[in-house]
Amino acid sequence: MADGKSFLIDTTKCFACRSCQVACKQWNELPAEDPVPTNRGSYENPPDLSASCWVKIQFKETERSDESLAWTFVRNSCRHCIDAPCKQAAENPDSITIDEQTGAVLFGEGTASESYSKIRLACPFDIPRQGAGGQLFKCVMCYDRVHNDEVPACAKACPSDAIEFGDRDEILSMADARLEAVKADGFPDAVILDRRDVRLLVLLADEASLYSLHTRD
Amino acid sequence: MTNHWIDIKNSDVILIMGSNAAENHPISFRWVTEARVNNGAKLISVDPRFTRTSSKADVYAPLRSGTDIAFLGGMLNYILQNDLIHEEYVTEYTNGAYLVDENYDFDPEAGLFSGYDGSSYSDKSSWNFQTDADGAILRDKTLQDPHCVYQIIKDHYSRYDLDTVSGVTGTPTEKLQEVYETYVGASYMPGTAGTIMYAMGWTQHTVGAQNIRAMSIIQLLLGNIGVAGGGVNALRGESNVQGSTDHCLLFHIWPGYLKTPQETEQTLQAYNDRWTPTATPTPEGEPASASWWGNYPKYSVSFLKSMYGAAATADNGFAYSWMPKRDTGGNYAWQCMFDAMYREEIKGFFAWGQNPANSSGHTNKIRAALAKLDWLVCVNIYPTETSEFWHGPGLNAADVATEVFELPCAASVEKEGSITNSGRWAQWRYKAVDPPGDAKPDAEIMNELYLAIKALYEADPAGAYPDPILNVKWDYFDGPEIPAVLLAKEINGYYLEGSEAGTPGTLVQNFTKLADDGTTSSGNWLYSDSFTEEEGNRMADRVASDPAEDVIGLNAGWAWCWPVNRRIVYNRASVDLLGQPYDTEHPVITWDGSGWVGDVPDGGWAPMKNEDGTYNPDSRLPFIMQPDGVGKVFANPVGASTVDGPIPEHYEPVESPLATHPFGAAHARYNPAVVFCESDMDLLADAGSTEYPIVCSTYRMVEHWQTGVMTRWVPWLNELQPDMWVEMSEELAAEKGIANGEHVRVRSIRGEVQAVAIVTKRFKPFTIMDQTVHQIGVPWCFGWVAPNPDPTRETNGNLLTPNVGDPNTRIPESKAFMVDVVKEA
Amino acid sequence: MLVTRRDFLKTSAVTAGVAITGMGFALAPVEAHAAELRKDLGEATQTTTICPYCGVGCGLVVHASDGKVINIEGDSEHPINQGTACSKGASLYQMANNDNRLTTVRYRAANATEWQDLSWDEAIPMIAQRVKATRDATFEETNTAGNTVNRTLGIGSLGSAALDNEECWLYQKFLRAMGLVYIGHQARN
Repeated sequence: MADGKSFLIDTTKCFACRSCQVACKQWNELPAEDPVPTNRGSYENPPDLSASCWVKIQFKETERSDESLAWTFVRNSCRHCIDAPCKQAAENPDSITIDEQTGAVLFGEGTASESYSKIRLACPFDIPRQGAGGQLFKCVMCYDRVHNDEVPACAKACPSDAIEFGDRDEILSMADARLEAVKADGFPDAVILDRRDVRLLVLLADEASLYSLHTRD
Repeated sequence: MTNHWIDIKNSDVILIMGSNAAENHPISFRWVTEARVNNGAKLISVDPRFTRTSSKADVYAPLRSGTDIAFLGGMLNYILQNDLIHEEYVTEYTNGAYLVDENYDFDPEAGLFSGYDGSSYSDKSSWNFQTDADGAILRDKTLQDPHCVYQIIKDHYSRYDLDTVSGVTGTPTEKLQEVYETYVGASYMPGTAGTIMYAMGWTQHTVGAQNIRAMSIIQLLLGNIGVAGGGVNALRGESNVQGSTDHCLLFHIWPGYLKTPQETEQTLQAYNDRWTPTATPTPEGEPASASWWGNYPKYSVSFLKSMYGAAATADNGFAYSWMPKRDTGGNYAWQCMFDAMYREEIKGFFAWGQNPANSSGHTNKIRAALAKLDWLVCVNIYPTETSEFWHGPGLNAADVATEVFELPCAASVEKEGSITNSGRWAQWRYKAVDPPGDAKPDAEIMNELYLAIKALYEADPAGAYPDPILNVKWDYFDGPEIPAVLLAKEINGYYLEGSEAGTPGTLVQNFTKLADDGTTSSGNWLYSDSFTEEEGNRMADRVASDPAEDVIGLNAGWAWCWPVNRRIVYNRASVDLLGQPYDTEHPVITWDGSGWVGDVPDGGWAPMKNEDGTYNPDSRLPFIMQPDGVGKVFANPVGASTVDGPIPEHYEPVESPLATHPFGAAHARYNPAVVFCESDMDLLADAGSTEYPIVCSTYRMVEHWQTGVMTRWVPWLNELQPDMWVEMSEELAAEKGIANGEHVRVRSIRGEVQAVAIVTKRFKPFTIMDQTVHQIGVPWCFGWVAPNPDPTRETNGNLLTPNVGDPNTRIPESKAFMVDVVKEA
Repeated sequence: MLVTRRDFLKTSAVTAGVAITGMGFALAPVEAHAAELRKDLGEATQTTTICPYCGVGCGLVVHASDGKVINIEGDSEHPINQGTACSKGASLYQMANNDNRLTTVRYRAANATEWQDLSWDEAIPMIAQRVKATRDATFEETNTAGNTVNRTLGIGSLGSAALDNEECWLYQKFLRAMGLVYIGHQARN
């Protein structure tokens, strides 16, 4: 496999319109949660990733040390790990495969025969969710689109280019350049999360505690 | 918008105030982000609540709802005390140097301008300018004369010092200072540009028009109008609210912003004489005013020819008498319409693509009014709270005598035609699929209705005044051509029989070809040039420009823009007196010695000065729609004007937490020109009411649209925002014993809603005149019909809002009113 | 307008046609995944449209097959949105395919507790009769001051920023020919 593809999630540009959440469902023909979840005192909805919710923006409001308010938005979805722990955890090597062209981590029908808890626990980001038939689901990097030289639905839809998608080397260069620019713009703590290990790179401007980063506790 | 969406990228500083662009105009943020990341622009968000827009801002400043004029008055004071104006622009392109009538006065104790009669400004004569014997306006380009506009506003806004403004707005003084320095500092120098993005957060106030006037004055003083990255930009909230306004589905204007006739204008001659202004004379040897509205009769007669075709003749005054007339001073705006309906004067009502039972101020009154109708026709793609009102909250269907027709229409992808975006681009769209079931395109429904009504009048000689119905030109559905195409051509206009300027039956090139003798037609002169013999349907053009060549992103080959494909209006104010752009990196137009290059200029006249520095009397002043040709820092009553003062003054919202005006007990507390509806339902909380002590505002969100009539049926969007909420500060929630996510009730003197509490750091209590004032906010996109029909659950934010509006527009004060909030029992 | 397949797969140039058929890829067996697009856009008609929500005026491409919309996404050539869309714009597929759309004319009689379905042929004459009756009963050729006004104040209309320009213009023509003065829309609320 060549270097494959990657995403850059630039939180300095995201304003949480959540077209990514909808565009994902539109392209991948995923229904809304049924019943529709209620409001729980937040804009953030649905409450969790699911078999039909593969991308979710997580909101957090906190005050910085200088008392200015930070309302941050960060994407939660499969990171498409370079060396995917979920694949290593699978009993059957065909259940979870790595797409040759893109590097996308893909769950097949065979995941219905895998241990849900084992696969989910293996994921450092707690991403996989089980559907009604037992199969596990998550972001597929819209590999069908990518194979046809189109970007994933979320990346195409994003109004402010907070989701960039492309060849991994180009995305890495873009991420590094953007990181420097953000640092120079008054955010010395800016960071790219898990730069070497995942295909979904997340650029944070503020310190990580200001974001609702969904990780296994 | 004077400018357009892509142009935001050219800004040096962006003020988002009175709008929440990230949520309500999300793709604008593509260009806001571009300006921030690639043009070094600073983004300022001023809003009572920290929003998704604020989350991306370099500077966020809170203010209490309804205090924008105080905030902007402080910015004017900062500009004027520090003399941070674009001096050539102010003295040459605005009325800043003009001398105001010596009888003009403003009484700072009473808060009143001269000419007030106790209920309105019936005598505006003192708001005029001084003139010489030839009628030319006297001026002092040194800006020193105490009667010149510059000195008048400098004096007026000297009262708006930081402490005073902070006491009114609740904005900390250091935040005021930061906003003023950031905005003015980045945009007052020639060659720099600041833009304002505003929406209903400025219009839905009893001082709505004056909110926008305040910012317009700032933009004129800073030289920010006509330039790339500048302008005064109203972000329009509906896909074709620009077009529906241009085509004047409004009581007071005919298509192209022509006036509707009043009863006193009994003949076409009297009407044209009344509304055709005379160009204000300019001093000998100086550029004149183009006073474009001098062409008024050409546009009004061409419109009447489009209305009545061959039946409109010179002999019958082009059928002018058939057009309905309004009473002098009569107001028939939305608010007045429902008042008349509530009084049972209106018997029949069309709600065509509308949901007033959710979108109006004080929707309890709207429901009561609808129940008094004989008949109601609703046209929509989904059921609405309006079409279903008769079995909605508070009503017993068996008691409601209104007959209701609900007509299913086509959605946007099921028909062909054009819509006009906020940047004035008319864009053609195409039919992808047939509408479902019996649903029909709206135009077909109109056609069937018209033909049926016409047939009834043809059959009944005793029918009331049938002439306009029987003679209206209606030939768009007879042939094989798509009706929308024929209508688009009608709007552009034709040469007619007798024309010597063009072949009868062919399309006119543009509005400069229109005539006042009946030899041309044009349904809307502003759209003339959009569909021509030479270039076809320009609204369908799809040539995006190369950013390397089209640096400022005009995209003149993509769609078509009114007027005459001019992408930035007032662009002759973007150049100096010799025609060279103030901003050489972002030139809009440039004089190359023989002509203009760049955007379509606001008239092709040569620059205002010759190479030798002398004025060119053959040139024209840049603000071509004004009789005097310049931008209005001071709103003299000639041309476009306001009914509530020549310059803005802060007044409290009609419902206010303050019992008296913060400038003094003698000061008019609210806008002294406000007109109230008088029905038994038009309740207003007392100023300083302890029963309703909390300021409230309504707003929208990205996930739903307007009343939610199109989005509350979309499961993917309901998943994101499923239900009604109210946002409040942690401090208020603690006082009220409300926890995040709990169910609460919000009530005003007019109504009550149920909502989920979002307890947030994004609202903070204000300190207003040394008192703590809380503010909360509710969306108005929810309702009882969808997604979970429940007539026992009230979730529409407009149940709370007042039915009192701006005296210029009658837009209700939905953005500042008083409520209380209680935990659900 | 109909656009070519390349407008959707704008960056794909020559390989797009091949890729859509799923051929021409060398995939390792274990890692082979179908290269067909999830939605069969190859056979779909493509038309451009403008988003019906806010006033930004974003361009969208609509893919339809067998008379049904199968996909709507941003028009990459459109200079304003450049292929992007917000959450509302991205959801338009569910506006075009929605079981809650009104598909029949409905009528609710005075004091009735239910809707009843009507055909257009039944409904249009009923509405026309009511318009004429109200107009005839309320028409004023002159007002109380004795001035010619030729109007009815007995009928009002709101609508609409949801109409196309051509429909707006036609609608104002219809209303003014009938003599309405109470004419409004979203610009005043």
